[in-house]
Amino acid sequence: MLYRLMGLILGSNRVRVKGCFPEKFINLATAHGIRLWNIRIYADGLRFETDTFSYKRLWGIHHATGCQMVSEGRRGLWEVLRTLKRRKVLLAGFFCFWLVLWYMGGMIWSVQIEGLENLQIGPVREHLEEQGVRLHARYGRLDFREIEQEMYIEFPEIAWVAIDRRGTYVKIRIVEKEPDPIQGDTPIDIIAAYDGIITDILVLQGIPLVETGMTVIKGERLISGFKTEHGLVNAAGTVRGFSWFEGYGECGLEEVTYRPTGHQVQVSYLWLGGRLVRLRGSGPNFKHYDISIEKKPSRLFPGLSIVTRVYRETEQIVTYHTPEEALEIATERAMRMAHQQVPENSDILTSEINRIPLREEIIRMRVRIEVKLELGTENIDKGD
Amino acid sequence: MKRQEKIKERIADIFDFPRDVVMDLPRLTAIGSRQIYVENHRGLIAYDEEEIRISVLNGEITVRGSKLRLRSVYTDDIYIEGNISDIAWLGGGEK
Repeated sequence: MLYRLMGLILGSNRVRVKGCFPEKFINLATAHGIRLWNIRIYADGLRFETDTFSYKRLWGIHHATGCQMVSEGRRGLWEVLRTLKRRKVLLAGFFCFWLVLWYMGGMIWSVQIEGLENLQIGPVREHLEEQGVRLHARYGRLDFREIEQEMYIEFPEIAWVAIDRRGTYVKIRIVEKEPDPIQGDTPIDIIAAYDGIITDILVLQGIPLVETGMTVIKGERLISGFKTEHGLVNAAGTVRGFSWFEGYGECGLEEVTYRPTGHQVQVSYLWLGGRLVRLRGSGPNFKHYDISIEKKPSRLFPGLSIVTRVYRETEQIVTYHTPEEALEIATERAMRMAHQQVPENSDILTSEINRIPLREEIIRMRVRIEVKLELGTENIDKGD
Repeated sequence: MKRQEKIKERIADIFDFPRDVVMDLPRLTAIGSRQIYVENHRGLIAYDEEEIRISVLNGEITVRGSKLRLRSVYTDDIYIEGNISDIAWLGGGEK
């Protein structure tokens, strides 16, 4: 009810009335427009609550009824405020408490660094403190993303870092870079990935061993890395040149191919000591079929296996080509084979198609394509 | 029933007005057996934890039960709480 809410805000009085008929008192009060609530009756009277303003008006009534009226206390927000007004130190203490709590809640009270393996915690902590991540610092002024970027620059060994704050607790998670498992303690060279003739060479690091116009074979060192007293110097650079790739394709005038029909038969065997004992199924009645064999060793009994043979039926398809069609198909196959060898980011310059004259029934084609590409690739120097 | 009340009743019939509004009749709202809200009362006749008697137009309403208490009392309404077992209308009725 709204009047109860009003009573809580504006304040209410708890009143005890003695020495008269309670019903008469209640009727008289209500007749004067006074609201009473939480009315409890006792042998010698009644107790109720009423709002602060009505309480003053009740004094006039209780004289008329001859009742004895006693106030048993006040409550409500208004009453609390009146109390606080008298107790200013308490009020000040209350606000000071919240102020201190708010201020201290904005500080870092715990810093944890985890994930360090080779890095020492001392320099990391020192760097973080320089950046402002330290005990009792106010975290509101810190830009954790920027501090993370600073850490990447300060510690190149760090592969990933994340600074998380939860309340007053700051956690720094670090993942260090893995050492290169391939390189070891030998420098990396640039070697030729293909046979070819060098057209361009650009050395960024290392000693060049070839020049423009030279012919190189696959595996030949092009730029050499070396060791110094300060450590390893890996070869770096690009070596571009021409190379050639060949493809071969053939097509008969009468070509036989096999296509699966979808029928299959599965036969299971027990493999025991080199002998096969048939467990389930029987061999196929297919004229043409493909077969796949799967062998599963027993976990419980070593030397015992279950062998499953799956027979898939195929049908024979004979295709007849004219010599022109066969030539075209063979060329396409040869071209496809040659192109499959060409690496990405290469420029195909020319292609040469030749027929191999062997038998009339089968057309054989050879394709040779000239490509400009990156000849060099990294390799570890196993010598020296 | 007085002539004035008869006229009020006729008006309420014709316009389909609620009679508690037109004729000042009491209105009782019971919420389960735990709460009763009485409007248009004429005062409290008797009050204890087992019986509350309320004066209304042309009679009285008696609420019986246990642990009854007046939650609030105002000029026009009374709000009763407790374990209500019986509500009775006593009095002359409308003649």
